[in-house]
Amino acid sequence: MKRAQNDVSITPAMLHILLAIAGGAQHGYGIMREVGERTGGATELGAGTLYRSIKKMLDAGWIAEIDADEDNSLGPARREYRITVGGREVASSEVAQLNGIVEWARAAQLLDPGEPV
Amino acid sequence: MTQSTPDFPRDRLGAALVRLVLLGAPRRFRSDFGDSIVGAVAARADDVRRRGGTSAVSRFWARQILDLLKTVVAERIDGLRRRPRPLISTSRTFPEKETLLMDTLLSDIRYSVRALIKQPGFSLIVVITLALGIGANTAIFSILDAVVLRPLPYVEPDRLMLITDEMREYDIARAPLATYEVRNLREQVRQFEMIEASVGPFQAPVTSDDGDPEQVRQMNLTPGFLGMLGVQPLTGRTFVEQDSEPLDPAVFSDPDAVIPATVVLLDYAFWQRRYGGDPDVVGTELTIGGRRATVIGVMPQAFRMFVLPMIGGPGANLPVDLYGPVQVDFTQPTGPGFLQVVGRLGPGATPQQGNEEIMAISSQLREDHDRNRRGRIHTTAVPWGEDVSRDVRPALLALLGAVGFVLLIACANVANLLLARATQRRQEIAVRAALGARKGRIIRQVLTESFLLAGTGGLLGLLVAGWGVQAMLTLQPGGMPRADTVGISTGVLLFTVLATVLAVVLFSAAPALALSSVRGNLVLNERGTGGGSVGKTRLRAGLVVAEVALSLVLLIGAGLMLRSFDHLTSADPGFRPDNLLTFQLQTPGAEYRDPLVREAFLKQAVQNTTALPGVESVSVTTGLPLSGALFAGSFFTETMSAEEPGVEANYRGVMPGYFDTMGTPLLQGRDFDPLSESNELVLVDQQLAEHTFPGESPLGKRITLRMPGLAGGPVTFVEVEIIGVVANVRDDAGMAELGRRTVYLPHRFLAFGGGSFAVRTTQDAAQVFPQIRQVISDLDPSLPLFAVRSMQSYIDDAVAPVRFTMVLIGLFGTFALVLAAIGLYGVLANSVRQQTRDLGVRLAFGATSAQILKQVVGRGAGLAALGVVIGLAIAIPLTRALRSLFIGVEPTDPLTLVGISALLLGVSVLACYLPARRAAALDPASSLRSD
Repeated sequence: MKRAQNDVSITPAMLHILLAIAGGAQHGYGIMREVGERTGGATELGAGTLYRSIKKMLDAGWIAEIDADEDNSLGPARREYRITVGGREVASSEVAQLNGIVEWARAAQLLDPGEPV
Repeated sequence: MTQSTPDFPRDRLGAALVRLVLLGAPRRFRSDFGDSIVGAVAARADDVRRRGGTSAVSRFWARQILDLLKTVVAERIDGLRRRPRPLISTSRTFPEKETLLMDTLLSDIRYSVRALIKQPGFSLIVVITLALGIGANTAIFSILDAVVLRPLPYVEPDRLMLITDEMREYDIARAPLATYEVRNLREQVRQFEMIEASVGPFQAPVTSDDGDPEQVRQMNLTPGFLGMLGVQPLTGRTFVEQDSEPLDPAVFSDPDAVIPATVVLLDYAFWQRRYGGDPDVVGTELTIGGRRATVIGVMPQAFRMFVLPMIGGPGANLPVDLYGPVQVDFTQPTGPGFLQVVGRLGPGATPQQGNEEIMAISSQLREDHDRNRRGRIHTTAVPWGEDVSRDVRPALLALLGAVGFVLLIACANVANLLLARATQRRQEIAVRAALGARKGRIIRQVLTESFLLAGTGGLLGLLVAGWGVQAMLTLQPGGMPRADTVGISTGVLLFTVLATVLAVVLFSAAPALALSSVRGNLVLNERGTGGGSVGKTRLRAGLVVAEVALSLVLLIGAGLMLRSFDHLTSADPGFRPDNLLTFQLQTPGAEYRDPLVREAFLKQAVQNTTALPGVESVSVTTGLPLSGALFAGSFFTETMSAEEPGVEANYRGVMPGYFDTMGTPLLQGRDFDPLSESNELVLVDQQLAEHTFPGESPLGKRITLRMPGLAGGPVTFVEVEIIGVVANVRDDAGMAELGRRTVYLPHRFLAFGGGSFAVRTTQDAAQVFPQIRQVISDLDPSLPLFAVRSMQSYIDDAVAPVRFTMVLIGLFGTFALVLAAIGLYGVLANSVRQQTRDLGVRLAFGATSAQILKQVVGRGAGLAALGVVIGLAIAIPLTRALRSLFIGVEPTDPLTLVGISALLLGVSVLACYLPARRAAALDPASSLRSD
């Protein structure tokens, strides 16, 4: 019962996750930390939402799993997730859309023009 | 993440809850991601703690658990949607699949509500039983939460450690530290960032330009103390080094002295009470103990200081009104202990490491310092929050266990009711099954009903809890710290929800299974004769046995508490508390500095008060028994060498006639002579006489009193003669046991800034007191007269903790007994109903009513007896483990065990008698037609 890629619509949590792993594969905790720090603590990802999103994005083929930490003797091997080409596409189209909104906001003078986004 | 991160209880709890919630997730999701989720959240909690401290961690966990709950629900819904379709449906797509599930749920709820309303009596009993069970649990938990579980209201309270001296030589568990000890700690610690100290609280008279004189409690803190706690004033500023001048250590040996302060911070409640929350209070002045002080700020409402009982006495946790700065001279080579010391652990240091370090420094101190060696002083550090709740924790945990039992019994009862109802509903369910309802659907229907019942019970339980907490707080012992913060918090709500869910699981599992096994054709063919299966009857009997066993455990606990309370209240306090009024009078200011002037004033006050109508006699002491005012010293007899540590004793200063007024019997010798001015005569109590002079008369014996650091000087020795022996008086150890031995000295010898008056009246004290106040005011209107209480109230306070536990366990035990009796009644009534035909046959064949009665009662009594045996097997080891709660009674007290067992059996037989009588009164002919 594999779903088609376009069956899943992107949520804000998914976008955050895709952004967090866009620069390189991360494990779950790494994603939570990255999101927390990048947003200055404004967004603290819930672990449940995180893994539910990961599950859906794995199904949708936006991300893929890699078994990292083969030499990790401290505990069970932690799974890392990397972004796929499909994932990149989804993320960048979403960001482009958001960027459009930001441009609009700027035009409507809701945003200081000099302020970096 | 790092393995060395300290293990915090909050994180353990959080991780446990996460795992618990995960249990609700689909198995696939749990096995794929469960461990990853737990690991990621735990690792992230460390980050959050480092950045935001403990309160941030609490919020973090709460958010994570909520998020996970949402996820679990969403995953479940996904799972249901993907379930294989029923046969009738052939299409690949289901546009209405979402509504399908909701429809089923809604129809289940509608059906359940209708079914429950159809049997209002049944529903009401179940809801009330659950409401009381859940409510009692929530109430006790909310007290436990506020008093024990909730962290102290400071920044990162997990890292604050209370540092105390254990003085093994004097058998004192937690004593304050001396200045040189703090200096040594500060110089040597590596695990601690800061070590700060507080002094007090002290009673101080306050006057300001626009207010009445009143007695306040003031506590003084080293300038860095508030900074270490991470607390900022609500308005104004905190203390700085320049605020305080170095302190004269003499004030510490004087319990009534007020440490001079030039600036003060107001406690929030005091600010509201005295200044009506005036925002412009900063900068105003008031007079404390004759000295001017400027208000520099107001503390936040949640701010509180916690005080060691050793320093603060029984009222240690009463609110403090004022905070002043104190600059302690830490360079002194030696001196007495008077500092309550708190340290903040450095990042990464565990409480364990902190304590080990303090103990290592302490063992060096024992080698270097005479005081530490002789006193066998072991300095230790414990998490401050743990120390604050240590005296009430055992009782609260025992109470939580007790209400947990009550909830279990309530659930057993509800399960029993549901099982009985399930029997009646077999026909209805059978029809549904025959019409094609699946097993899962029937179970879901039963669960929906259970959740509706429990949910309503839980909501009502919250109301019960709110009311119960109020009732309990009026009962609570005055010494319970943070009692004012008890309330229904998020944690409490979460607890209630968990208790409700647990209740559903406990009481609905059996009926759901029983019903789901119903097969349409079998039941529809079955005539309602034999009723439920043998297995189900056994199950119900088993539940009743469990109920009886659990109630027995509770009732034995209640019985032992009752015996403890009886032991306490029937103990002879060593004085006659009836018609004995007490109050305290302070004599501050320059005009009373001379002890002779002070003493003359007090004598005049005694004389004028005694002359009042309705007053029999009046006397003054430095501290009333059970009031917590202590002056500990030690003495030597003529036969002891000066090398020995001496005999520990309390010193009390009393005026002539004190024993007479208190009603303390004089056993040998004589009282102080009102006309004599000699300082070298003392009385002792009976236990001192027997201990120190066994087999001989102590009268005329000379002893040398060691007066530790009195009046700021070094230790002095005074030789005195024993002129009398009085009865033992319950005092520093409460009503439970005799405290330390006591030496009674002439009042002027030990008195500082006033005294405690004891007035024996011949009529109602309330009528006499206004005149007493007038007499004192005539002598000097500026003196505050406070702590006006009957001597009985000191006894009441001393037994309050035991009364609290006794009343609550008694209440829970009674509730449990009623539930168990109802359960027993229900099971027997049901079985009589089911066996109507069998009994009818027996009657028809010549069995007498008496035989039937005996048979039914015998069956019930058999179940109860089995419950009692199992209950005893649980109760005996359990009460042994809780030994510390019981006073003056053995946990295996035979009277209690036998009495409670008999009570429970008696009630059980009574509960069986009613259905048995009905069985015996059956008319054989009609019972055979009963179907």
